[in-house]
Amino acid sequence: MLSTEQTLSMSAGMRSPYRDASMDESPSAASTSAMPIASDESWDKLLDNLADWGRIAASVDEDGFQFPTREAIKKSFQWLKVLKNRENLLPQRVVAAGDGGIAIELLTGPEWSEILDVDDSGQVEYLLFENCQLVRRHALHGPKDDPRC
Amino acid sequence: MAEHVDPIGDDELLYRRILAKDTNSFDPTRDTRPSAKAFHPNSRDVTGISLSRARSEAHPEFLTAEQVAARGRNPAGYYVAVLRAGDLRAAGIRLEVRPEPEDLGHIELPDVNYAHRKDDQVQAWKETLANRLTIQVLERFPAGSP
Repeated sequence: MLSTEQTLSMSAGMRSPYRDASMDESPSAASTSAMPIASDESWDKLLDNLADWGRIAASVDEDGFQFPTREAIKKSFQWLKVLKNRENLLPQRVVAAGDGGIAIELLTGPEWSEILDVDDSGQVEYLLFENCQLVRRHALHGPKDDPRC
Repeated sequence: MAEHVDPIGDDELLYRRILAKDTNSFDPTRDTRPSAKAFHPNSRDVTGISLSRARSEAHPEFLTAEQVAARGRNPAGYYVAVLRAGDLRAAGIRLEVRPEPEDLGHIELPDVNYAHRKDDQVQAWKETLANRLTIQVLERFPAGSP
């Protein structure tokens, strides 16, 4: 399993459009609709959103949509703290999946998407899409496993 | 009411409801595209996620976008994503006609279902639906009867 550092640096020749975009070096930047804006206010908004989900954790709405579980919220909170403290790269979007999980969408668009997918049990996967095709997928350690956390 | 079993034309427009509040699946102030999670199956999507064929001159019996939104029951209301049937087929996504009494144009994507929601192919299809095949996302409509 890989740490955040290893994942986002793509040391095996793979690139991280998310990190590239933050450095304004990415050819994919023009295709993405939002660039990370790492203000404290933006981070607070994301974290507040998780707290809001905590108040209705795992509830199911009228159409069968299940809001994130406490396990998913807790793990997402940990990962967002890692992203803020280490990279200060704001994810494009943090989305309730509808099955109790959460997608931390680092960057999404027709050319590149890079996602931390947190399932309802708190398991995390890293997903990288190029032209909407899945080109990389692997499980991630919890942030507690990372010596820099 | 008789079932409507007309084959879906490639040029037909399709509607997909997106929950408007609390999910972040779509935020028109930040992005014109929805999240791929707008196409993620939940536990009720056993036989595939639902879409609706759009009302047209050829199919006046089908629902408008507002009516499709109104079939949802979450009081927060819904955005409605618009897609084209032929685009889905070209991407390898199967469509199945599954008319319901209150939505004769109801269809499902049988391969995008709850049991297979984590499969590589389903992940790629969801990305494709959100980032390549969604033509536009219509305004937020209220739930309940229009």
